[in-house]
Amino acid sequence: MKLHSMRLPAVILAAGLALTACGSGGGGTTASGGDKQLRVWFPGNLSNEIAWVNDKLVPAFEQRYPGVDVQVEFVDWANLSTRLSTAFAGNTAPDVFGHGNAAAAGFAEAGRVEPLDDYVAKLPETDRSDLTFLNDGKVGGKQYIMPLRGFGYLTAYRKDLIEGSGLDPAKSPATWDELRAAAEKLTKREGGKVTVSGLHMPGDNPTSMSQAFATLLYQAGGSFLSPDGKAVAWNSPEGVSALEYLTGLYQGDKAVATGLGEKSASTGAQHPLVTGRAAMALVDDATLKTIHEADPGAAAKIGVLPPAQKTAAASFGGAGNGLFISAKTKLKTEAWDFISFMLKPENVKEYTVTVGGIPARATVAGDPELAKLAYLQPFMAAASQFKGNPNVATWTQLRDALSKEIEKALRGTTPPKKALDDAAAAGEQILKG
Amino acid sequence: MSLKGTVTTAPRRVSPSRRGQGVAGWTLVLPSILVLLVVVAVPIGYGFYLSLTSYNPVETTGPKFHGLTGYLQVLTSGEFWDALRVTVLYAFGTLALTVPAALGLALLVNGKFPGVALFRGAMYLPRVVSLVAVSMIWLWLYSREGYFNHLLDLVGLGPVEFLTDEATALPSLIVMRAWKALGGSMIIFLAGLQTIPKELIQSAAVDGAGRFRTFRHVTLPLLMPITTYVVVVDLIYLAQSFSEIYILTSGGPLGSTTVVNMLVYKEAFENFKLGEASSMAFVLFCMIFALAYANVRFLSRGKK
Repeated sequence: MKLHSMRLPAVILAAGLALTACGSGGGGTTASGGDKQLRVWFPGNLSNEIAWVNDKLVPAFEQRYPGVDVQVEFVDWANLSTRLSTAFAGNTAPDVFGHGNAAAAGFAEAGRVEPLDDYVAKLPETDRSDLTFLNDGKVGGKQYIMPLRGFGYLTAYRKDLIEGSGLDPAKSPATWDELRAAAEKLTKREGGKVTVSGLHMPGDNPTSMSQAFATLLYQAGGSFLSPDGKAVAWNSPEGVSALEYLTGLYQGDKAVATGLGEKSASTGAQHPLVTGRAAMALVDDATLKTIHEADPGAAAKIGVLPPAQKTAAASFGGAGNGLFISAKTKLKTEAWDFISFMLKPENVKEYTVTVGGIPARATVAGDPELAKLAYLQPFMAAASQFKGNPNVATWTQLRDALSKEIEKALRGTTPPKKALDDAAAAGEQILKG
Repeated sequence: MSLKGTVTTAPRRVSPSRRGQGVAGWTLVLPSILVLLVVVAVPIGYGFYLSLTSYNPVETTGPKFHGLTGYLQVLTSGEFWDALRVTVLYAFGTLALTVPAALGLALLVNGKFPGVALFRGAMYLPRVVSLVAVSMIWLWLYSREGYFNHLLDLVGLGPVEFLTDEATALPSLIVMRAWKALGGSMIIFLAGLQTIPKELIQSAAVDGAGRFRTFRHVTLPLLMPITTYVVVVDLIYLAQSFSEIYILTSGGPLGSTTVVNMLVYKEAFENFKLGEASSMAFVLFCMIFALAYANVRFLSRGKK
């Protein structure tokens, strides 16, 4: 009797396990219409992007290509590298995935992504010349990523604060010296502490600090690496002057900025320009878009300057996120069909309106509807002046080594030249492998 | 003696029903053993294997065996020792706040006063809320436009950069984590207090011991096993902290809140050095084990 009473649950459990095993087999996703399931990972979790992709883009693609069932997953930017590396290791990478342009060289060198030159070559010449950031997606001359949008950093300012400061609103600061002079006039202090930054720079984390440095580095005429990408160049005299300028904004008696380490990217109504804690700020297009969406009243008081210069009018930017085709996908044609569909002019326009950024097509940039978007127009006008990261496989490691030292300089624990030299020593080790 | 010999040499006879019970027992336990093997033992074994390799999951080459090189790299890395120092400060800093405060609260709620059940429930609430959710709330509390700075503004004190200043970031994390852990430790201490026989307390009172002397010489020694449990379990959890640090500071500023697990994460998923990250994780495991063992020995010394 006792034995029987114990056998029964064991049998039920075994049956349950067997049923569970049967139920969990077969790949997980259910085909809703087509027989070929194309798995796509989009980076980020913007609700309007998710809605547009799921409700418009994918249904339109599936209608155009009836044999394909697109399964989209949105992966938070912070978890993207983690998810991708484990997917590669587990051989479960999606057929198409998005990432920042800076990741292209690393994936290409590791053989994880498909070269796209043959597909690109089949595009009409008018299309190829229309794709603004196509060349930014090349590594060693080969196309690996198809950029979906561009991005850039420009200095935005509060018109009302400029007017009340005695500065001439008609004469916008164009050089480093003019920018610094304006920042000093706009800075407010209480008890020696800066309460309103004359010029706020992105300093959310070490990576964004390095992007602020990149803007100044390019304006000083410098570069991160030598032209062949085999040696560090960020500790050149141009680099040192860029970091000294940046450090001078935060350190010393004449500091004009505060808020190092505080989140400001894409903070909308919480951005220092909106809260009144900054009179000028270096912002990217996505951040300005969030301000316009979160507080249109405050956004109306914000103007945007063209890139400043020391020796060159330039700024950090260029190709933003794009799409790769996984090297192991069995659906290469379908994967390319999806990417090329997404890059059709009408989709590029909708994507830009939805997500922001500089459109991936030059013809779309001239669209009257986009030209009306106040947060986009200055960035589209400056598109040719944006310069991105070097396309080398170890870039993210190099950037991390540099970012760490830049943070030390900005926090005043290491002089700018020493910080750059220390970062260069670490960088040379990384380049040597 | 002879009886003992008889017992040991007697042939063992197992009845069929008892043998059947054994089979049924194994059948019931087998799924759990299989699950443990698949989700615990195999990953730990694979993790140890990875710690002996150089492995970038983004590359197609797979793990390359390099023996103890990864461990040597970890043990000679300044970054690892810095992270370990931060881990120790974080864990012991949190314990230093949590244990006395939890014991004090347990003594308070062990008494009877109106609303004691509600108070106990309220104190336990942070324990049942997800650490990620708690971290998000404290991220706002600590932010420049957050509640704490709003209060400081009201009393005319300047804003404090709780999470963005090297000097305040780690203490701020410790305060948050102690608040989160307080309720759980309080309940465990309360359970311990309620197991202390009332006769002992009454005897001490009859002998003329005051409240403090009773606490010092009766309550506290009898609570030592509970204290050991709280300290060791919290220490193990705290030394593995990650999510709250990831959300609140991501290890910054200037690495002042980079605990070992944060470094493991960065090494594995930002630098794609899974082998080195695994070595680090195993070194951390050995250290947590040693620390926990030392704590058990120290806190239970002289118990026998």
